[in-house]
Amino acid sequence: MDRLLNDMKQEFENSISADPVFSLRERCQIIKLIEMEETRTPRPSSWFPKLLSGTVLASLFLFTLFIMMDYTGVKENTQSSHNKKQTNIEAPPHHISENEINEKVAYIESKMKLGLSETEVHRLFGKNFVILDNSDSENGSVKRIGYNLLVNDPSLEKKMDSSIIDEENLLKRNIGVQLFIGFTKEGKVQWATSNYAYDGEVYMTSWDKNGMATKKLHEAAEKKDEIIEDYASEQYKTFSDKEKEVYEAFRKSLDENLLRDLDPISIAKFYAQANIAQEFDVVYALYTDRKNYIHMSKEEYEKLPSSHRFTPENAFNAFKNIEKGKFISHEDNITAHIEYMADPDAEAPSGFTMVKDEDGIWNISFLPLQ
Amino acid sequence: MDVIMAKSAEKYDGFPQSKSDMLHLLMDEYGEEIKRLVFTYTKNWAQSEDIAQEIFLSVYKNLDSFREQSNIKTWIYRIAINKCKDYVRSWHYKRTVITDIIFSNETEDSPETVYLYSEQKQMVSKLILQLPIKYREVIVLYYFKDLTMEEASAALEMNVNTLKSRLRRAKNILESKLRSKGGL
Repeated sequence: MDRLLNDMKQEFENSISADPVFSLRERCQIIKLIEMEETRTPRPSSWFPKLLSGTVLASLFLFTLFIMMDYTGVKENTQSSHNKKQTNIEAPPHHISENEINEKVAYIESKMKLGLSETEVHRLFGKNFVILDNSDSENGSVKRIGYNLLVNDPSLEKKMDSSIIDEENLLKRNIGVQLFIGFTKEGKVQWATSNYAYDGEVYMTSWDKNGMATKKLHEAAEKKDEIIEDYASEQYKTFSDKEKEVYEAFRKSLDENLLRDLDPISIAKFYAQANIAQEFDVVYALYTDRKNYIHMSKEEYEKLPSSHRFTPENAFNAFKNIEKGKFISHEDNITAHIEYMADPDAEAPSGFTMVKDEDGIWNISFLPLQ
Repeated sequence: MDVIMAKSAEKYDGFPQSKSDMLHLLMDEYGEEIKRLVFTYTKNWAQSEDIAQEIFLSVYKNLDSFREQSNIKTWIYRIAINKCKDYVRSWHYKRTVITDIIFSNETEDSPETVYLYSEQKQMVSKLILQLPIKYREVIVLYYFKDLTMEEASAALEMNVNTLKSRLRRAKNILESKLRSKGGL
């Protein structure tokens, strides 16, 4: 146990979060808090500040009195021309300040919790929301709403399109914060994202079953692509030239007949590669459609939440060394499994179940890992 | 205060000019690890963020009272641990824990992510976060935050022998939990 604990610092930190958790935004909030605290802290008293504040108060009183008298006089003398001038001057456009955005973001982050009811959400963030299309939900939510909070033009309040983040208006500060919320069928918050611009970048704070996290919008996407590319190219190295040729043709056409003469281990490698590359239409095409075996329609499969799918890293680790595995056919001559050592230090080998379809082509069981 | 500045200045190009500069240096150096430490107590990122804010606010307010007898890492850790313990004693924490349990149960049976927990190190990570706080904190500080026995005992304000016996007990609990899950 001691050796294991000594070796697993990185794994433990990754299990908490693989990404940095202390953001620039949080640092700014701390500094802001300190500034607020300092302005609230009373200064030690002495005669000079008292004298100073007394003088300031007296000056303020006299100044206000002067303005009032002056204004009244002007009003009496030039009321008609003054009114005329006022009608010609347009109100300056409201510019959303960074402080306003910070305060709104801090408010959302202090109030947002998974499990809040719809009524609680309306109470916290208002009823000026838009009901959005939820058909592409990957998180299993049944209803999705969106808020444009802090807008400099009322017409932007309900200008939302599905869950597409309006980066342009966020960056221009025409919209301060875009908040998206997904609800369960019981009407409780299942996930939420709050999107806002800071220092020329769009940030997303998300709440889901893994807790709350803040990421730079594009940084997250680029990083994910980079991770996928790294793992996928590593796994791809295990492909023979023939496997590469068939795989490329299969991922384009999804034609099962291309798999007909392939070794079942090659098909398992395709499944691993497609999962690592997050090409889920290829993954689905490799599943068995044999009757009496667990089956899922394409629509059902596409609606699976991301938590039910492999991440590139999990897929890479789960199927490591599958190319060196042993294919073991079962007595029924329909099912088989591949025995392989994904982790050389594991006590028992991993197992990967395959099913031979009626057309004689080996496919993947819907629950392949044993 | 000057002592901290001088010590920190060794790691940085410029000598910090003010308490505010010092706070920036400390957030650079410890912000990430402190927030992660806080999460091991709260298991909730929203709360971790609030507590991390309180910790650095407290660090800032108390910079003048820092004494050289303890090193700055131990000092910040002690502030952090005390803030975390205040939180876990609160009513709010007890309510959050119940919510967390509800949500973690919801996802436990997802078919393909089951693999995630079958790996021994990941399983142990999960088990550590399930340990009672008094065992969890000694494992985290000693094994994952690179604190020596002496530093961890100073941060936790307990003597080294108590720390050693808690560590032993924590490892025994982990071993038996791991065994019961077939991980050993």
